[in-house]
Amino acid sequence: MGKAIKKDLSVPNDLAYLSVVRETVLEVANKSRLPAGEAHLVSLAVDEALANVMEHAYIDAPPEVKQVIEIQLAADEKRIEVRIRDFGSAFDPGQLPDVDLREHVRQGKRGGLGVFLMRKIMDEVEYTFEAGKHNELYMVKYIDKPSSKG
Amino acid sequence: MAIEFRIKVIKSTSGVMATKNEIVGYVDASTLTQFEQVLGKLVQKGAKNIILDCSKLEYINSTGLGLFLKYTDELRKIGGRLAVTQLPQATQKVVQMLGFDRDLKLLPDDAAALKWFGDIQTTTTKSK
Repeated sequence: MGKAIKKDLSVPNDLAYLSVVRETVLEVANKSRLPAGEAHLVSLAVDEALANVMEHAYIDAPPEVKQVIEIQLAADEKRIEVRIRDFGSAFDPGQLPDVDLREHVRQGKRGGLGVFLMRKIMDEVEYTFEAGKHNELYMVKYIDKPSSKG
Repeated sequence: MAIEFRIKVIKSTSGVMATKNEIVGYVDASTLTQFEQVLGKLVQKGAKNIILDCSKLEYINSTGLGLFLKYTDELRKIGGRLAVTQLPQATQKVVQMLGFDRDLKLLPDDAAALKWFGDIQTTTTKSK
């Protein structure tokens, strides 16, 4: 049984920090048994999820709200878990309808693709909201299940 | 630096010309606008055959790949073409997941891209 790996970080609501988080996800994933190509996909899923939070969660936030995002990463023999928590408005990308991706792009729309990839890459994607407290996105990737489903 | 673009015009021995844009760094939500502006300017200035050299591309998100598709369409409309070269393996998998592999032209290098542009020009001239 391999050792469990954990990493917690808290970043400002600033897109410049996306690369820092991707690096950290890769660091954790590469220490796990996850194949290298799959590690890239998990870091992509986290990047897309975090960018969504950064672009939506704090748009209407009053000044007293702390504009930070907490990320918890954990990996063991069987899986990698990601929790992304923010303290802004509830935004559930899980409620977005499936889109025709190519048509979506041709119409010049942004977004939508990231949510599609999150669902495709990760084995579990769950959103929870605690009104007035925080929003949390929880995602799991099972190590022995490649991301070629669908 | 998060992202940098090295742009130059290249020419094959048979005279086919193309604008090569080497992307150095990453395309994520923080650099996406810069990437889109650079592509837009190239097209505006009249570039028709564009090569996006991804040999130094560290990361690209889904919206960035969406721009590859958008400009593939835009250039086609004006009789041009977009070739994507040396796209990392892991990103090629993402392209497949999005179903963009049917529309994007992924090629190994500049020579293959110039040959492709040349073949298209020949076919178009012959059919006229």
